[in-house]
Amino acid sequence: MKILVCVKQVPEFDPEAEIKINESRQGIVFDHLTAFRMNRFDEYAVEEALLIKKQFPDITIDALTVGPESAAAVVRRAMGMGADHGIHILTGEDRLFPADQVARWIADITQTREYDLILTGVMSEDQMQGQVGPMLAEYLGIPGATSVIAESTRPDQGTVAAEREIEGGYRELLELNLPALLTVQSGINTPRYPSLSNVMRAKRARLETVEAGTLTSQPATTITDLHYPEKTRAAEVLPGTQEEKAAQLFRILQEKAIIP
Amino acid sequence: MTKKTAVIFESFEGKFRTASWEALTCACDFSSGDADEIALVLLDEKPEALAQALARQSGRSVIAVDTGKGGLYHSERTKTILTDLFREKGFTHFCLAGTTQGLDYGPGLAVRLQAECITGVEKVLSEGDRLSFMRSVYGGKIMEKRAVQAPVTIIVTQPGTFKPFSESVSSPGTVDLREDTTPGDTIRHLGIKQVQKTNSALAEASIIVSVGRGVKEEENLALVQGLAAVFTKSAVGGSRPLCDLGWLEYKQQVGITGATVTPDLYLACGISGAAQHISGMRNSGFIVAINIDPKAAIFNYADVCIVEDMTTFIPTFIATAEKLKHN
Repeated sequence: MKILVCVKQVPEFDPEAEIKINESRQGIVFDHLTAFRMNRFDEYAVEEALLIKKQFPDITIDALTVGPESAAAVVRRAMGMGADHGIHILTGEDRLFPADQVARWIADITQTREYDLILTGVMSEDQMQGQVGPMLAEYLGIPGATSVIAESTRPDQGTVAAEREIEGGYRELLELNLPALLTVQSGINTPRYPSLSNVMRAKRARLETVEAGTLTSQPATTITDLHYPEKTRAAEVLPGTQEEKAAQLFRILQEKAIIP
Repeated sequence: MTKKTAVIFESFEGKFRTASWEALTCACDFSSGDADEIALVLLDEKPEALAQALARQSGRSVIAVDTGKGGLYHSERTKTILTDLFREKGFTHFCLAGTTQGLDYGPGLAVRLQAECITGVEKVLSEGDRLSFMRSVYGGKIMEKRAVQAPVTIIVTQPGTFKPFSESVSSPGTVDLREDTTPGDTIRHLGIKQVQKTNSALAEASIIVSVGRGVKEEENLALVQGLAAVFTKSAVGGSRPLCDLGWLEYKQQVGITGATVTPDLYLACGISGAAQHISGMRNSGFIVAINIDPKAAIFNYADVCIVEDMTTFIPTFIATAEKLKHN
């Protein structure tokens, strides 16, 4: 049995730093100081694949990413966690591609590889679209389920049982025929840290690098314009020392009759 | 270009999701005048009564498909039914709520229809013949405006951002009842289970003290409990990452996959303000946000912003409140 895990490299911004929009207003500014890491949701997907492999040791796990040269780091990270092989669909330096294009790039190279199970995160932290997973399932013509919070793979029966997290504390219980694609929700497991021996192996390993084809269609979404969000409320910033802010907040809450 | 929009309504246990009424508002926002059409689509078991209610409340024509099987959502069949309807009716736009269901079938449907799909839509702008959609990226720190020129567009709205449809309606719409005959046998739906009871504490609280990653250490949760104790009728909630860490129970989670709350006061402590969280609390009466990051997205939704480290500000506030209460 073969599992594919799709992982994305996302920028890691210092939580207190401002994210800068570039001059064209179509992207954000990355510089030599920008750190990149694996999308957290994808870490859960890698871990879930490793947990399945623990149950069925003859499974092989391929980790795949789409992105510029530096994105290879997240494939190696997945291998450091325990994935067997790495595949890198190499793009130009640009990091923003339509979800549909990313799904087709992945579908193109995975079509003939007969993966039994494809796992990925429920969404990326940067673009927050949640589209590549379900689109990939559709391009491959296999059943898919999103927002999976528990799964049980049964290779002998050719099925996977999945619990989808839905609103209000409920879960949908599904059984999908393999091959299938699941996007996993955070909390499904606790992603491990890469082990030293795996990291050494991943460092030496040769990744399979495939050049991404040229965009096979003009993206229909033609214009993107980025800006900082507008305030939806008063957004009154309290001035002064911590003590002064505390006293002001107390008075405001009293005026609002929230504190008697 | 005249727009012909299908708004897909979602029901759960015999009730429409509020987010579906919001999707209808979104469709009304980008449809203009008499030429543009909006039809509603409902998939459920024995949907007639719900369909009639929908036609009455919306004044729009409703296509109701009886999917049988307890009305359980099935992604394959949903996509097939909507693809068939698209071919029959020539819809140019599909508008649906970004619930866990809408996000499950929306992107796949786009592939089938060779349509453009935009998720997390918070606002629509009409500029001549072109529609633009606003959505959050980078954890809510940046807004992205996308103009779409595809012949067919699937718009998936971010729950909580549009007002639920509440126009008065003079006459009910028509109802077109159908049977579903699609197979969809690669996925079997085995039922639904409730893994946690709705958190009545959050629903009943007038004041919610909510905590995010800014709490840093699990021990610091005691501060948040102490802050909640300053108020009466209060409860502690939080963002998803804290539930994933096991520091809070999932029933305390506020946001899309957790609770949607509207207390008199929402006190967001160390919460960055990702769209998933905002959807669950943005309609609270009064919102106070404490965050060390002056650019935190949560401040865009707050009445009062306090740029401080919550772990030092909360003790200061509790001490101040003690002192001022006795004055």
